[in-house]
Formats: sequence, C-alpha cells, structure tokens
Amino acid sequence: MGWLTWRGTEQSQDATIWSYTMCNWRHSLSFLILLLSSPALRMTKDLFPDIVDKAFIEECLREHNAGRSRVSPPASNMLYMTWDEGLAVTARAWARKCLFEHNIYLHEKGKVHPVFTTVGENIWAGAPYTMFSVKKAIEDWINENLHYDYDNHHCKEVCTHYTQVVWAETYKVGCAVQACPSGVAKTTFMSTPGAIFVCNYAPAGNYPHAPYLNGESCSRCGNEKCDNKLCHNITREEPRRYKWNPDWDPALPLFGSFYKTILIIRPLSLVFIFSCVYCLQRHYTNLFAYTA
Amino acid sequence: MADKTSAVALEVDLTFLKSKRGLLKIAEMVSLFVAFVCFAVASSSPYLVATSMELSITLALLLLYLLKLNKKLTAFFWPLIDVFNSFFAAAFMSTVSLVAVSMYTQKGTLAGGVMGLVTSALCCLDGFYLFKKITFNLPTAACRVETCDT
Repeated sequence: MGWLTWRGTEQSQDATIWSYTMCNWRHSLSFLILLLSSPALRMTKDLFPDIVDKAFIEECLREHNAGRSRVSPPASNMLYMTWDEGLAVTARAWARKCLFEHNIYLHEKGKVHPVFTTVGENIWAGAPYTMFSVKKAIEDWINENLHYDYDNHHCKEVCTHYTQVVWAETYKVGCAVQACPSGVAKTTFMSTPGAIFVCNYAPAGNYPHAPYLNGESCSRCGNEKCDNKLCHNITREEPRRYKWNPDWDPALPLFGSFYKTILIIRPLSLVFIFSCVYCLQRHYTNLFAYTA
Repeated sequence: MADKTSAVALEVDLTFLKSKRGLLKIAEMVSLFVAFVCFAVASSSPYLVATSMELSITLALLLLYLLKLNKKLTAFFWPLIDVFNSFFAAAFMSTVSLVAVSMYTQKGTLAGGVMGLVTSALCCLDGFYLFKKITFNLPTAACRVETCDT
C-alpha cells in the first residue's frame, strides 16, 4: 500500500513538472511572439493605464467634474459627467495614431460612436513620458479659463479645450492615453518619445454660444438632484455597454482574423496549385498548350 | 565564358510582351499597382498585404515568361499553373475587393476595391484565354513539346 502511494506521488510529481515546463515553454513562446510583433504595444501596457483601468477612469472623471463644478461665474445648468465606454474606445483608437491633430472621423456619423451623433474632442501631448499625468493634462485644459471671458464669450488665446470641458450639456466622457516611442507627430517635440492623451465628449460642445448658463448653482437642474454644484440623473449617468469598435482603429487589422486569413490563404493556394498541376501532369502525360 | 553563358541563359522574350497574354499580364500589374497605391494612401493594411502578394506573384510569372524560364524549369507544366493561379487570383481579389468596397471608411479604400475588381476581371480573362489553348490528351503529331508555334 505504502509503495503504491509512493509510486502515485512520484507519477503525479512527474506530471506536475512536465506540465510546468510545458506552461513555461508556452508562456515564453507567446511572450516571444508578442515581443516580435509589437514591442511598442508591450511598452505602452507597462507605461500607462488602459481605458478599463478603474483608477484611471476615476481620475479622469474626478478632474473633469472638479473643473465643471468650480466654474466662475457659477453655472446653473451644469450636468455631472460620467464615463462612456464607446467614447473611450474611440479615444484609444485615435491616440494609437500618435498624431497631434483632431480625429478626422469626428463629424462622420457612426464612425466615432455607435449611439451619439455629435462628439467633441480634446487632445494633450507631452514629452518625455514623465510629463504626463491625468491631473496635469486636464488642468492644462481647464487653465485656459484665464483666456476666456464669459460675459463677452470671447477667447484671448486658445480656450476651446476649456469650453468643451465645462460645456453644460455634455455629460459623457471617454479618455485614453498612449505612449508614442517614436514621438507624437505634428508637435514641436516630434523626435522625443512622448505621450498623447485624448478625451472624447458627447454630446459635443463648442457651439457658437456660451458653454453654460450663468446663475445660482443647480437652479436650472429641474427636479434633478444637486450635488457639488452639478445636476445628477441616475438614468443619464448609467454606464452603457456597446460591444463596438471603430472600423478605422489602427490596432484592428493587424490582429484581426481577416488579416491573418489573407496572409495564410494566398501562399497556401500557391502550394495547392503546384501540387494540383503536378498530379494532373502525372495523370495527363500529353499535356500541352498552343502558346504562340 | 561565364558572362557569355549567363547572357545566353537570361535571354529576354520581348515578343511575349507584345502578345495578348503579355499585355493582359501587364494590364493586371498596372491595375494592381493602382489598387496598391489607393490602399497605401488609405493605409488599410490587410488590403495592402493582399495586393502586394498578388503583385509579386504576377511579377514572378511575367518574369518567368519574359526570361523564358518556363522552358528551363520543365518539372511543372507552367500554362496550367498560370491558369489555376489566374482563377484563384480572380476569386481572391474579388473577395478582398468586395470586403473593401462594402466596409470602406476612406475613399482610398473604395477606389482600391474598385481597382481590385478590375484586376479580378482581367485575371479571369487571362485564365480563360490560356485555358482554351491547353489540350489534355490529344497530342498533335506535329508538336509534342510543351510549347509549339502554330
């Protein structure tokens, strides 16, 4: 009995070691493939949070809503901002291009969001990587309020980032940050590795009128709850899931099955054609063609 | 000596370029190249890969005929390989182009898809034209070799 047990243990130990090495081998292989295919992607994952990162989402929302609740003069109809998955996916797709320019699909219906028809966008870029923090980027936008004159609705310098952040009717936001090892294009620091931070807003702001109505805080919230000078509404703030991805996402075709199918099918077809012809040659020994 | 033999070995068959099949191959390459440029402008990589693969295969076949390599590498019956390849290329390009046309987000992808459809039509024509010239088991007494002038 004792002997049997001992045998059993040894066998199972053997099995464990085998499966361990197997796992290890597989792990290193997948690691190698990842390393070979996308070194930039791996770096990004280590450097900056993803769009599903809870802390990242929290910080984006906290900074935006803080900026919205401390506007001066006070706003009477400012809505509380919540996260939107679709907007974040679009922001991530555009950030991946490492280009300091507005999304070219922003005004095309269905290209930037599955539900919202108007989407706004703010972009921040900085180098080196350590320059970036969510707080700093959003503060840079909010600090444009120094150039903004509410009474005349006039900007002394660029302040459209600020007016989008504090646009009263905008209640959804989605942000993404991307590391750009070969620099962010169309900036003055193009040659240094840097970060690009994109936020998309819905419904879009920056129409030719003031971003919010002046008055006593929350006085135009209707029967909605007021908290920290912002209007709250549970149904409006509910997170939505879309299972949607923009079709222009640069990361899509590389990893999509369509790309792989194309890469595999055509060379495989050549092998198939050659072997087919070889077999036919064996069968029909008198094959020939009139090629003049 | 070596130079002389290699010069002889790489004899260029310019008459092929002027023949109907040669012109068809060149037309295929031109339309593929236009499609390639369109896809490159739109930076749609799966289509770009498809057209570049097709472009290199067509170029390889053209060079094969142009340098008369088909008469040296006799292990394969090249006309039949060309026919099969043309039909497969037509099917492959039309599938890829239809996907491109139906799912385009940029005008470049749409233009590339249309050019891809033109290419697949040309491939079909090329394959059909050559296939008509192949006989399977009716050797004429006059020409038993793979190619013979008529």
